[in-house]
Amino acid sequence: MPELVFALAGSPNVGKSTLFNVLTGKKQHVGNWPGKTIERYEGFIDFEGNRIRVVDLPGTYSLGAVSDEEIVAREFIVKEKPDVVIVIVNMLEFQPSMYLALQVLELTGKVVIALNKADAALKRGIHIRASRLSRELGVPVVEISALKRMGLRELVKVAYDVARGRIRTSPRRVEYGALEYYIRDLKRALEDCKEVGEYPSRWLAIRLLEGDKELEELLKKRCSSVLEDVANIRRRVEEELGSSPEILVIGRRYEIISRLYRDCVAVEEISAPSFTEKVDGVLLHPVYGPLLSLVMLISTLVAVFSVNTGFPLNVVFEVLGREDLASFVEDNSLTGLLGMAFDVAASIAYSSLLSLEAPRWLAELVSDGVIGGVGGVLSFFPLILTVYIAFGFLEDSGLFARIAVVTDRLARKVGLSGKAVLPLILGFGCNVPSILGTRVLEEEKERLLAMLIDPLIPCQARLFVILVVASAVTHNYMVQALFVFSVYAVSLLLLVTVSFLLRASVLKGYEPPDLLIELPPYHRPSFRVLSWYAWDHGVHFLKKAGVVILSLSIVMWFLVNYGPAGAAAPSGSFAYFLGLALAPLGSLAGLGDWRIMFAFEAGFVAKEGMISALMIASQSPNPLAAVGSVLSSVPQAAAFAIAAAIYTPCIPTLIVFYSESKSLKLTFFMVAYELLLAFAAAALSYHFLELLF
Amino acid sequence: MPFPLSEAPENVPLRIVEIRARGRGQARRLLEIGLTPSAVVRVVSKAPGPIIVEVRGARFALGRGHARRILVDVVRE
Repeated sequence: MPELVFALAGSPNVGKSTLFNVLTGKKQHVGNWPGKTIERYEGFIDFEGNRIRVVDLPGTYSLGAVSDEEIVAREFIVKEKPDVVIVIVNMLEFQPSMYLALQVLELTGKVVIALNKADAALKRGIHIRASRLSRELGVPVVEISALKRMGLRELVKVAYDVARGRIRTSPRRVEYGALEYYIRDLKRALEDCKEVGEYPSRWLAIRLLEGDKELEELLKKRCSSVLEDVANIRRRVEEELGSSPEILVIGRRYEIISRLYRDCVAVEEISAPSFTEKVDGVLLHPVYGPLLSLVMLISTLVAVFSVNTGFPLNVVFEVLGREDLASFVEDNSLTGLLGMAFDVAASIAYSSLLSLEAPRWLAELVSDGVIGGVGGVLSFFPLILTVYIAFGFLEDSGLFARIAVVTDRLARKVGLSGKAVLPLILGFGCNVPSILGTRVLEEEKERLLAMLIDPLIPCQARLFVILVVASAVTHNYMVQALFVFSVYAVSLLLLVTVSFLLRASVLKGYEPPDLLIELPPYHRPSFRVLSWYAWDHGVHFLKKAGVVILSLSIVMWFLVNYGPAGAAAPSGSFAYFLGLALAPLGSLAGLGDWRIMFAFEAGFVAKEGMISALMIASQSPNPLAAVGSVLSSVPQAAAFAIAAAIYTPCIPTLIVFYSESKSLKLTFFMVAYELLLAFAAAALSYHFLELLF
Repeated sequence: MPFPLSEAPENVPLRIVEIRARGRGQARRLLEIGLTPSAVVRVVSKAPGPIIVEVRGARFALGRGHARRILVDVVRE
């Protein structure tokens, strides 16, 4: 028997990803939809010995062609003809989520409606007569709770029976009243255009009537004469019915949904305001709202940082006089553990290769180049993972939408909408998931702007560099804090400036889009689902970028250890000569030392590598001594830290930027502007501080 | 007299009279989330910045520009 294909469709916030995850468990993989940056999730379920492929369609409110997600979802239904489409309807928000269901029913009859969040609905006194709804729609309706794993078996069984034809469906035909006459006209005109025959003709006519840029493009290429008919009929509707066809079509669908709601849904009055209402009273408050959002964002970052590197929790313990706890936190942070594991692996490989009488260069290549490189690749993993978990948590719980609302006004000042705030803030953790997170921005230009300024947000690896420099400059905690704060302030000031300059030049005429976002009821995300989601994204990234990062790490290792004269210590290596060549340029910013340039070369692969590069170059035993030996004054230290914070993002960020923008030109542009900016900012601050000190 | 949703008072049931679209497709997103003519909406809160509306049992935050484009009238019993 051929493999069956189930597609999952649903609007955002209906619990679709949760359902996908609990249905398929760990048997899933992530890819991309062809030609799009939208992720394609597929998984498998076993049902009575049959393997069923489950495809998770992107979450959309509609199947129009407004966004790529919508095009992907409907093209899949039309072209790949899944055996059944499971449409998830949120019982708590019946009407808006029913809108998508109605549209899927216009496209295919092989549909099962899954009424999700049945448990929460019951608590709120919401009852749905599933049998009546099923009769009205002409397809099976199953009540489920994906989170509580209720009704899932029943859902799969019903879907299976529909796919096998054991349950016959007779989908409700949406009647459009006065529009029917025009639909018929248009349908007739479309009969001459055989090239669009794969779409159901009635559906095509309705879509064209309400306006659909993607389908119009298709007609323009294949039967341009019909396009004129479309425009004519649209004009006639407007004149003869006195309203735009899109208002009539969408209005009609909602009329049907209102009727379904009246006939099939009963809500018992609950007098007390809901939990969501109460929380929103505070979180959306004009004064407390923004403050609480700030607190949430900062605590998210502190949590992410602490899990990864122990900072700033270790400092807190140190200040409290508990050095034992501080070092415990550091040693048991994800980065600490990974680093330790790779150090051990590298030294075992080195000594065992030597004992096998392998040549010294080979042992070094394997232990330092390869194992060190793999360690370098994997060192990104905890950061990406934790940032994803944080992102998923804020998104699934409903907090993301609230943050977007209260930060919208501020965000507009930098040319973005409130939706951009959370993804950008996560850049303080790591720019890779941050750039990926800008996918929530629907408008192309807004996303481009967000992606271009994103790397100016200093990530945690850069924080590490800045902290080491600050500690080398002074022992005074207050001065250190001031130093770190100033570098951040410069970075963010530049972010605002660059955004302004981009909007005045390349993005001229662009306005930040008006906010339009759903405020779903709050709910507690499932940690299991979050961790799967984060794991998949992390692995997906490693697969995509791992090879490039690893090869560049090995190239770096070679450049540092070899020179024109063969094997060489840092002085005499290729990297050394490059550093020497760059030093005169660096001296304009007080950084005219090959060792410093050498560190910047290393930082290109990963920013935290700058410090170990300084240690190698200056032959110092520890980070503080290394920094102290090359940076002797405050102006120099400041210039170094500022340049490190701003210059070209690391390789992984570049790879993600390229794969998201699909433009080599933009990627080069970003690298170039950041190099230039870093150099200018470092030089300016150096000369300015020289005057003061 | 219909007035823009951006001017509407909080917590009063309002009926949508018209969606003013500048150019094609502008109104689409609003319509698709259920803000269709004759639908009943309620402004939940209007702090500075986006306003919060409830329509068909779901809540949305709308930027001021969107809210200006939606004309409403007070529902009379």
